[in-house]
Amino acid sequence: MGRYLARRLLLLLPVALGITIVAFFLLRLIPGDPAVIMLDNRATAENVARLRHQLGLDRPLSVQYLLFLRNIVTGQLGDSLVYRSAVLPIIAGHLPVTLFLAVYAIVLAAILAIPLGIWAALRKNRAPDHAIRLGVLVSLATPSYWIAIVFLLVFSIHLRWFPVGGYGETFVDHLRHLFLPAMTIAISLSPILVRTLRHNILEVLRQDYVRTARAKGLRGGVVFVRHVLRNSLVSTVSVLGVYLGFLVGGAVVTETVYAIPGTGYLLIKSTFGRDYPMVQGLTLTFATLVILVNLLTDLTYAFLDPRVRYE
Amino acid sequence: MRRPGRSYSLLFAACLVVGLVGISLTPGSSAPKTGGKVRMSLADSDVTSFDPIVPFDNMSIWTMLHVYDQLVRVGKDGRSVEPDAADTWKVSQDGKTWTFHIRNGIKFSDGSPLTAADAAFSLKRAVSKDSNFADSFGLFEDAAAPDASTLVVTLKKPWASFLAYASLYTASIVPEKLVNAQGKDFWEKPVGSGPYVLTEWIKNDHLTLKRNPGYWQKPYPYLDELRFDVLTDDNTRMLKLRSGELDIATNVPPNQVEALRKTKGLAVELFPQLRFDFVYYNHGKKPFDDLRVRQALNYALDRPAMLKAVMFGYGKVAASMLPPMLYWNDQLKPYAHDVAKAKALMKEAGYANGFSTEILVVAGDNQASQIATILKDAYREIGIDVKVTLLEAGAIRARRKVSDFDMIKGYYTSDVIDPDELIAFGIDAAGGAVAKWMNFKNEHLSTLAAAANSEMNAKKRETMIHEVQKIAYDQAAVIPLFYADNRTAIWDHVKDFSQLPTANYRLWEAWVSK
Repeated sequence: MGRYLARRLLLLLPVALGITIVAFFLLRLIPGDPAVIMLDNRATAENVARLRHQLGLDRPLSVQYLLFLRNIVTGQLGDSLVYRSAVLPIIAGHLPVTLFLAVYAIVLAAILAIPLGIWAALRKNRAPDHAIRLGVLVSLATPSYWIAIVFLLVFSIHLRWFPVGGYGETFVDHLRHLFLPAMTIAISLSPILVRTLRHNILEVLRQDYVRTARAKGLRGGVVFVRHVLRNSLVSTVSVLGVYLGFLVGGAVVTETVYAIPGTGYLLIKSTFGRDYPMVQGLTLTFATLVILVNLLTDLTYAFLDPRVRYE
Repeated sequence: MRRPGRSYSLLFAACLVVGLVGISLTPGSSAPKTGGKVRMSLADSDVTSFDPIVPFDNMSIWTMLHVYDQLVRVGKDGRSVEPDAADTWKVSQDGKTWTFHIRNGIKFSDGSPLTAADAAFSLKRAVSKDSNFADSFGLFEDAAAPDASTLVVTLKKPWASFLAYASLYTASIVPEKLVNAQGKDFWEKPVGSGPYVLTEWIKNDHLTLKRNPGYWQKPYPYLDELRFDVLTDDNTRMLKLRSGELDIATNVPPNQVEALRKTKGLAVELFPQLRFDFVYYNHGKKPFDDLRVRQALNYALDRPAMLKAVMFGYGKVAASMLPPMLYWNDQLKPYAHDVAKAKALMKEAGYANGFSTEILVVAGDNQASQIATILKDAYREIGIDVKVTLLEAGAIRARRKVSDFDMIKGYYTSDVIDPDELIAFGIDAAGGAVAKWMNFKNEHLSTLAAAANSEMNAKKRETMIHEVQKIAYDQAAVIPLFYADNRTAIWDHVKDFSQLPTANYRLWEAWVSK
């Protein structure tokens, strides 16, 4: 296990280097000069030249890339072009919000999806199953920004149950402020979970060991919880890991509509402003998160499925 | 039996008393109240910097104007400047030396006195090579502080709009000692002498400003706290307003104004601003080098209809290349919508069969796209086939740089009340911006603009600036479209909020009734 972990962590290095290259050069392929965007209608040739010099954008690309690498090695991510102050504290300030939102969304998605998935599987090809599967299709096809706006109109403007956006100060505040956004993401995420879970349950129900367990005279509920559900959840959890990227993507849209001060909102703003160091920093952060969560998912297997061994 | 007259007079007296009591108890009466807070949106972006010589974005500029004082500031009429950190000033006979008296007892928010030395230091920063606005102060020579309350500014030559530029955010007065001691860190927690003090800045989310109890102008500010929320998404901003989480929402989308006005307790105010929207063409290229073609393009357009379609009518159709401001030429009338005349001009110019052309529009700018579509339809009537090309701003700039364009949608706004900034930016090729990009060079106009800049007699200067506008108009230098109003939604418990034509607001004058 220890050796496995060490190898996985070591493998992170080339992946991280690859990510820096993609983050750095792909970003610069997007047309648009940060100086021109900042200057807007004051973008005279002199202003652009001066600002480019102030921001260090007039240096060769290779030099800029090496500076970026040096910054990473020294544990910094450079200065934001827009704010002209260090990127890292700004990202660190926004990250907890997105993580809170992601975890909240997963919890809500699980609360929605697990009962529905189980119910659909147990009532296969009957009315509840058809209804759930139709619901899954509809919610998959509904764009999350639309859900967000409908939620806001109904629950924030008409009923006034929840604030329109923001993050709040205390934990209870966070739960209240982020409920609609988390629900928005959960609604996009849960269909995937429902489908996977339904499929897995049906698969496991056909396994010999389930029949054996039943034959041993175990009660139906015990068989279902201990043998069927536990085994079905293994692959569902791995799907969640894969969909972390999706969660981050969902957070970008959701955070923008709800004006939540998370990394997704920051990413959108920074990309529009071509704030290269900020976008690079965020890309690295997201990539690291995805890698870590995937690692964590692999480790969770061991907990859920004792047959999984790490060599 | 009592005489009826007496009972009437008693009744009258009773009514009077009840009436007077009623008036004095009526909520929302005009006496401003101190205290409370206001939440307002930042609609374009976050504030990016509190260093006066750095940012170009209005959010930074308008917020900074609440934290710092300048020597003078824009008056409420938007046509004059009024005393700020300097209470009096005089200019020498030759127009080259300005002497300011710094207000007695004025202090920075940390309690230290604001001196003429701080003002001199700040002006010198504004013209230094690090300043992004050094070219706005091209005629500045030096600033000296012979004593703590006297500031002497010398100019290279007489400069008529100097006072207007002295009110620019770039010329904000900062404490010399602290700036030198703290370096870059100072701008994260700036100290100024303005009505408010920055107390919190969560990047990309919100800023909080608290009242400066030592502010020089009593009884301002009324509000204890201002909170600015970064809300760039139009829908979110309007939802936050409707849910009551915002007291003031800026930049209301024109198509939502009517709906918001129907909400009880909400008003949407229209504030004229110094903004000009236009389409410019490449004078250096056929057929735009021909005045008749340019005139035809102007006559073929139905401006009132465009204003209604794009801005829902919230603005005025344009004639002059300057928005209504100081020395604005109100004699110029917008080109009439006259298709027959446009066709005749095209024929006269030898383009009876029209021609094909292209307009460049910044991708994502919906308003510009709408305008381009309207132009396309209008010009089809006179035989011109317009191709609308959406490009990223940098790509447009690259093509403009090598003069590879036919038409581009543009706009500009002014930060100062004096037309000098916009003449240089828009009309005079010597200014190196719009006029130069579109190859519109007119020597008489450039000579007039330069002369106007050092003409200290206001009447003579007005005549010159009127003439500059008329030349541009007669030459059909651009296709003027409209002067759009600023649309701001305000809940009725917020009183005395207004936006100046320079589009900044004076929140120290606003107060809340609840």
